[in-house]
Amino acid sequence: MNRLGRFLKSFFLVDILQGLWVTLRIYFSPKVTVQYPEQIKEPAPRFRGILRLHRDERGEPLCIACKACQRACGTNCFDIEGKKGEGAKVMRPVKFDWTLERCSFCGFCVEVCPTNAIRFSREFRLTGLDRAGLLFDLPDMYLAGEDLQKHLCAGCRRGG
Amino acid sequence: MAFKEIDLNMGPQHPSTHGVLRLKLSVDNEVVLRVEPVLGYLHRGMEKLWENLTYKQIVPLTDRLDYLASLSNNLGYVLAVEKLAGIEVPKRAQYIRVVLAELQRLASHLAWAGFMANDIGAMTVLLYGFEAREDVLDIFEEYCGARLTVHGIRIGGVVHDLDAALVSRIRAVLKAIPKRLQDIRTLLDENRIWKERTVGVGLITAGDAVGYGLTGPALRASGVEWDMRKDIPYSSYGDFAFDVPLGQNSDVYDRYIVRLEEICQSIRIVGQALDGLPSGEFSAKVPRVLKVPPGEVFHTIEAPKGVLGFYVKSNGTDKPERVKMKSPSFINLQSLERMCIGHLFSDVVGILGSLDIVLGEIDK
Repeated sequence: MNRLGRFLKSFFLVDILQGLWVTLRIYFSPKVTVQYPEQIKEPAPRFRGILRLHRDERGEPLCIACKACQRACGTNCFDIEGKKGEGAKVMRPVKFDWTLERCSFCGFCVEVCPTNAIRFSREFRLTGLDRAGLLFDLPDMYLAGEDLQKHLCAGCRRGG
Repeated sequence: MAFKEIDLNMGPQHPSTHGVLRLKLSVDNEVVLRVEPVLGYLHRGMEKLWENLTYKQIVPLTDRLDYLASLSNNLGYVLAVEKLAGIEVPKRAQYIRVVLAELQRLASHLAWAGFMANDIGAMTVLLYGFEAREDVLDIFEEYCGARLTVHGIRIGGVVHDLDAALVSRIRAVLKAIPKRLQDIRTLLDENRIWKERTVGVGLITAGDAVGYGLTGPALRASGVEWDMRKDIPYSSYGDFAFDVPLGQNSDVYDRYIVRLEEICQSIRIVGQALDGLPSGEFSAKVPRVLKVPPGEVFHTIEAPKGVLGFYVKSNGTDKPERVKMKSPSFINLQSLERMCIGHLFSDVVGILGSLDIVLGEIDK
């Protein structure tokens, strides 16, 4: 009986038909793929994208050039120099170079920052056509949104 | 036909070698006589590099070893350092680590099922497996912002706490995965083409498997019950009830069954860990500059690919003197020749796939 059952199962292609039934069922279920350039899947709130510096609500930079991020970084992404202005209470960065091509997006710099000045943006498009776009200096660190894209991509820089 | 031995190169650029692995094959017509894996195309000098980094800075680099299971690598290294430094990890952090590591095992095995079936010719499974894996990667993105090189486990604990929203999301994903798993099993378990290509292929006896140092699902498919989570529990694995699936025939088909069963067990463990999530801190207090007392330590965990070990030697500074890694893929690959001899050339693809190797871990 068992042998006969096996023979019948194999003769009537039961295994193949079961598989085809699965593919047919999923063929008519909603699609899960996202057509990327037209549709964009929003990254999660904690997404680790391009690093950015932030200002406080009065427009003052939050960074105090303490170089904690530089020390925490495992790949030497940062080159920071700070200076104390005349009569100022805290240091401010005069040089803040961040190299995107060296960054591994591990998040150590964001975690150690005492003033919460350096944070991840949710920008996931990291492509550039030349290395100049991958080097961020102090003004570039405050860029956001489409300006960030223009900075990265040589084609956009020329066009814009 | 007259006997004629031909040397054949498979790789380093070959879709079924899962990276830049080169296999030097000696074949007689279609029958494999010898297999010699040639490694080193992805060598990045990781172990030397680690000697110049602080203990904390090494953790994100361990992501890049087995890039399909980065959290397991994090966990293995972090546990070794904590053992050496004598850091007590809070219970909640241990449970979150279990949740993350088991989700990572899920993702790794689902990706494996897809790749393996794709190598043998069943492309549909690749798409279904990746769809299910995508949900797990979305959890990682929600948890700590990265999908593949996650860097979610830190020395002393984990990077974030698990909040209620994330817990319910994990539960929803865990509920959906068995359905997808059932689809994969319906497609493959009884499929005659799949069985022709896998049953009785790549045999290795239990004695040989132990002799070659084979670990992980490939060893358990030979009927040897050896699971670090059960035998030498770490990170509170002793608190959870789960089974260790075993195979009998030690062929490619059994390795497939064992891995799919392990997915079900992982779902069980995550469910228990979420139910019994203790309150408290999610990370121990670790000094900003971590100096580890001199000494040496070796710690092993059960990674998705097999037993992953880290040897850490400290000289009392904030940088390790030596970190050596016992990578499961590297050791599992050594038994490839034993499994391939006498089989057809086209079976090498299936046997190599059944070992579940990742080249980032082999070449380091």
